[in-house]
Amino acid sequence: MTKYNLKSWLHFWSFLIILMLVPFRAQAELKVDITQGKIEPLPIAISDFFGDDERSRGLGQDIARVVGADLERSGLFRLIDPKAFIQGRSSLRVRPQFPSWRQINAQALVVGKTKIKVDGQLRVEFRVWDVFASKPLIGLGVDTKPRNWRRVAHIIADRIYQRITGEQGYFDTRVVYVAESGPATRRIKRLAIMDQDGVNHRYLTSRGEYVLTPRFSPTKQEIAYLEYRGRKARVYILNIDNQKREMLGDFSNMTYAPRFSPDGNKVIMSMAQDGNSDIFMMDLSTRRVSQFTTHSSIDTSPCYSPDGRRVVFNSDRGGKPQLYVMGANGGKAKRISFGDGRYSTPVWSPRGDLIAFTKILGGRFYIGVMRPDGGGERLLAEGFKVEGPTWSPNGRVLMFFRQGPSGKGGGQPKLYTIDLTGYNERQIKTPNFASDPAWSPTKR
Amino acid sequence: MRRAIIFSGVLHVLAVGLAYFGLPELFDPPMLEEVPSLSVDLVTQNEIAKMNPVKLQAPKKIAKKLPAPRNFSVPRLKKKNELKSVLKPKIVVKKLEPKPKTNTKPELKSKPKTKPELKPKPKVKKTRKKKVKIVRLAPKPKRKPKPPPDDFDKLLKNLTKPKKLALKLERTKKDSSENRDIGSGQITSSFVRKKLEYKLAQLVQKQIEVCWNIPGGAKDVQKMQISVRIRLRRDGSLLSRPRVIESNRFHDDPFYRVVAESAVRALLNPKCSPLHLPYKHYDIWQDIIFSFNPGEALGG
Repeated sequence: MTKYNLKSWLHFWSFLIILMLVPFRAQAELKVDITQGKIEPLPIAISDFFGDDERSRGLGQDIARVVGADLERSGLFRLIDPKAFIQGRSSLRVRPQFPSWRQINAQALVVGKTKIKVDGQLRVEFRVWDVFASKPLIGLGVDTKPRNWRRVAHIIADRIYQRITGEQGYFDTRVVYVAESGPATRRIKRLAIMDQDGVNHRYLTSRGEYVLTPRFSPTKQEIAYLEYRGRKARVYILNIDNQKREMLGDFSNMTYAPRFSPDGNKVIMSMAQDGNSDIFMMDLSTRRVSQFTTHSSIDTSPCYSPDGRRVVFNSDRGGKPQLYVMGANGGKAKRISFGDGRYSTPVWSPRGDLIAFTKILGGRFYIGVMRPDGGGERLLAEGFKVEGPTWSPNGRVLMFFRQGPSGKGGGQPKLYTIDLTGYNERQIKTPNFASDPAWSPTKR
Repeated sequence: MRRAIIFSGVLHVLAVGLAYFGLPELFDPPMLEEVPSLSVDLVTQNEIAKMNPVKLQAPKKIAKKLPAPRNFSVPRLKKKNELKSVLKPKIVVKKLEPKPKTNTKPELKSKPKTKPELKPKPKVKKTRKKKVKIVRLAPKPKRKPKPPPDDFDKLLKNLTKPKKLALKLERTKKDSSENRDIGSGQITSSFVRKKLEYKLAQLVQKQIEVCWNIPGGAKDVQKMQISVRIRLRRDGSLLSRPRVIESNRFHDDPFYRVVAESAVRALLNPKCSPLHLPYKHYDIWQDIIFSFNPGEALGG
């Protein structure tokens, strides 16, 4: 290559590169701030899961129904009536026609199929579509025994809930509570357990014992609760699977209001002594007992924070029952509730951001939440008697019991759930009256 | 050789430039074609019967009775003469008795002339022109009252509000004396442009806020800010999919993804697309960057 040619090549390429770098037309974008919106249930369409034979189709229908009920009960989804579906099932099996789903205002679409395999196992697959963006959001396959179809439906509902809202699902959980029956003066109380939607209900104790305040272990299939035997009230541990029970410790005095630590290794509870109540901890492996509070006031209803570092409890050391927070290893108790009324039954949210409580003010009961520093108090539910909140494992929903005044139709406690925003209060149906609910952790 | 290189270089630059500006969709995934669908309501016979019938206003009864119509019998006309007699009103006038004819000459002198007694002419009644009362055969047609506005009308009004705003902007644009080049909508004054950008941003904001469903439960949602970019066609419809600007965070942070998806869903919602924006200012609004602030929206 001659010198002359090399120079011209260099000129040409540098000219080209400079031209490419220089923008021909400066375009400014319009900037728009969106500072308002709405919070509404998301319209979702759930089609019956497809199946090749009658049994698969039946299971597909049942699974879709349970998934829909879970999502709708959460208050964050609105189911679209299947009668409004435009696209037929045969074409939907191939691929969704998104314009027809937009037509009925569906924003998400759930499609699935079920199959009984040759070995008898149930295979369930599902996919969730974003209707506006015309793209899949999540898809999953599950293999299990056909009799576990209900749990599969709850797991699917959990995944859909998590993908769309960002929150952990809470549908594959159970609730233990005190089932009440008989007249108000001779009430029979038994421990009962059921799925969070009220299905698979069974009793854990027989009619003879008087039971209170059951609480789930976070790591084992065990429940800690209070039982009266004769005149003695003691904390017991009950195994859910074999229903064997064991008295916790050999205390000479009454022990009550037990709760497990987040790692499941300890139980924290109250013990009454000469008119005074203090909080004690017991290590479940060593059975060693240590005293947590030593005040002359009544200290009770202790609850660990989800990280296990702090404990919130109820004390009347200030005159009226109020809420206090203390380090799990001891130290000075710091008061966090300062409003009018009496505060009790504090429960720390599994998310760690809120503490739920029962408040009594002016003869009325309230269920409320506040931040761990005591600020941001909000009352969510009100009634003649509403008490005993328990958090769902994702810290989004509270369950409590509500009771009317005694008399005609009164004195009959029932279970209710409410979203932490204060909306979507719903009754959970139980065979009899119900009180003192406790929500299980997610993995059971 | 040198000429050839320069010529080739210029042509290459032109080709690249044409491709860069003329093919914006080259690297964008194609939007799914919309198959138009028709919404049909299936209604049973019973439902039709149950539907509220439209009440028609019955015409009011005429208060005054019409005069009985005259029976005119139109005879068959055979001759022209007959026609004349039909058309002309008959005036009956009694004829004078004819003079009796006598053969002898009357004695003019002897007999006084006696004029035959003329019978009084029949008085032809002169019909005075009375004031004729015009009897309306039918009552005055009343103006039909305006039907009350439909719910659908109200809906329409809501939907067209942004359109009306867009039209207003068009008119203000016309009135603006600052405008020099009407044909392409280019405004030379930067102050007026900024003012217009502000108004256009408000117009877009009002339309999109209606469609944004915020996932309020997402963790740390108050601290988030989602930036999404869109490009629009002249009719206000999307040219390509909305793009989340922080795409890394979109894939790594599940809570961020959930809120970002809600923002994209707001932009894709058929209720809010196409955007109703003034055609003349397309050069300003063809590229929009949205900043979704859940914290501000939730009052945090």
